[in-house]
Amino acid sequence: MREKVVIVEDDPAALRLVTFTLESAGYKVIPAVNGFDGLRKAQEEQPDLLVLDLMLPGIDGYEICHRLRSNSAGSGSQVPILMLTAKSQQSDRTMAGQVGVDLYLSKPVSPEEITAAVHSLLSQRQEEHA
Amino acid sequence: MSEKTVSVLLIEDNPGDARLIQETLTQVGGGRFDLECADRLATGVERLTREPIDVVLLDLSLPDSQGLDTVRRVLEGAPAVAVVVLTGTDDNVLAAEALHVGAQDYLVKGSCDGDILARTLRHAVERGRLVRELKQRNEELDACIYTVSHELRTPLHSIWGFVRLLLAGKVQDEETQQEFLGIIDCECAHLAALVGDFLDVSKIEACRMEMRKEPLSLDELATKTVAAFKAVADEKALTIDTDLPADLPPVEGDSERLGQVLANLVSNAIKFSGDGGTIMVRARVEGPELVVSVQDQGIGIATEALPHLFERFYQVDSSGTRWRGGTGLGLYISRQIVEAHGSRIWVDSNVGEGSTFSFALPMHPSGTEDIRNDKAA
Repeated sequence: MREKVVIVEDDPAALRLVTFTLESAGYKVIPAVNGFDGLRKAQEEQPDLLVLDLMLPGIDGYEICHRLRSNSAGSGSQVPILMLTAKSQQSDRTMAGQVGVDLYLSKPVSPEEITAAVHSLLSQRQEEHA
Repeated sequence: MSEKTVSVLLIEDNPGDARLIQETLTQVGGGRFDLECADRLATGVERLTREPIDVVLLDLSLPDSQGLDTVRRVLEGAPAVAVVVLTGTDDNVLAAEALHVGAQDYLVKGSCDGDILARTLRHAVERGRLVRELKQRNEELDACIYTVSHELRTPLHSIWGFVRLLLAGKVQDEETQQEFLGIIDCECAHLAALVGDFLDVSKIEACRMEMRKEPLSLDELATKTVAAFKAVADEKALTIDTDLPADLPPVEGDSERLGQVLANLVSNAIKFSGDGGTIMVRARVEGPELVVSVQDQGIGIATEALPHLFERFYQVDSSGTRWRGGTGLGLYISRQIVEAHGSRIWVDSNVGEGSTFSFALPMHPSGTEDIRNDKAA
């Protein structure tokens, strides 16, 4: 079965880019365009991975991570999270680490890097579960 | 400006010196110096934390502190205060060091008369204020550069990504190729708009955006702007109507910059309107001013967003609309332009009922004359 990736991104061009890139790489993509939509889909769709923008309308990327990770009974609490954001300050990275982001990439990121990052996070997860 | 009362805190342990300085400042100051005294550094610093003081006149040899440490400790206690050293040691090296640790000036007891002392105190206050202002501007600039880089990264990310996909031959289907080229085109336009807005903001903030003061006809300006947006409005089946009285008096201002304001307001009205609505561009005389307004029947603006609309980089939450690509600078730039004309811009809006943005402009002196004549006739 194809691995499922929820993408939370409010910029339509960036959303189209990462959707196309990951679909071409064989993943099933579920897009979300704001924080609330993203949190709901991350909980309901039981994705194998979450690609998350930081600045989002509604609730931001940090808050989504925090809510997912702190809800131990929730379905998506251990899902690998890739943060893909235009923010580049060290303080943002540190904060991301604290709320449970597995990998933080600063835009611009090439499609090849995105695919490689998703692939690497998913294989790490498989090894842990093996 | 220099006639304002200056509050001075003298930190001096020698009662004779303190009295002399007090008398000198009373003589030359004519009541424009408000002097307080402290005979220990600790008492002086404690006083500084209670209420702001403009300038500290500081002896360097005090019972509880000696030398440059005295300057440092005053500035630790009150970083914003101007410090003028007044000491018995005539030493150029020490004077340079005192300035280096943050003092505004260094005077030697007995070698300066009252007038020089008074002037030095005033200049120290003014220099201190300028230094603080510069530091603050620098911090704002740092924050601004970070935001700018963040804003530029987003379109750059998409442009680069789609170009890589196309170059690598990952997009086989011709329709998708066209779609991606279209996105690249839009993102490039967005980048260009960002760069243009950033330049305008940098001009505004360096006070280099000069406004011409020329008589101009708003009727003409509005008609031109509306015509320029007709094609964009047609795409959403929007009608742009104008209500411009035939006898509008000329206003005074910069037609290019005011055209930019009007274009920004009309463009926003289009962006936030649903298909098929009407946008009204109005002008009317109100007292000594001419008020221009742009009214839409769009989505309106949430009450909590209203106070922030004209702030730099503020963007309303546009999820759920088809619109994107604002720079968060259009209304900020508009406000700066209108304010540079000595006037104001404001908004009335209700969610679901649309928004009306208005700005007022001073009438051209000859225009005001005409109206007075009309009324008298």
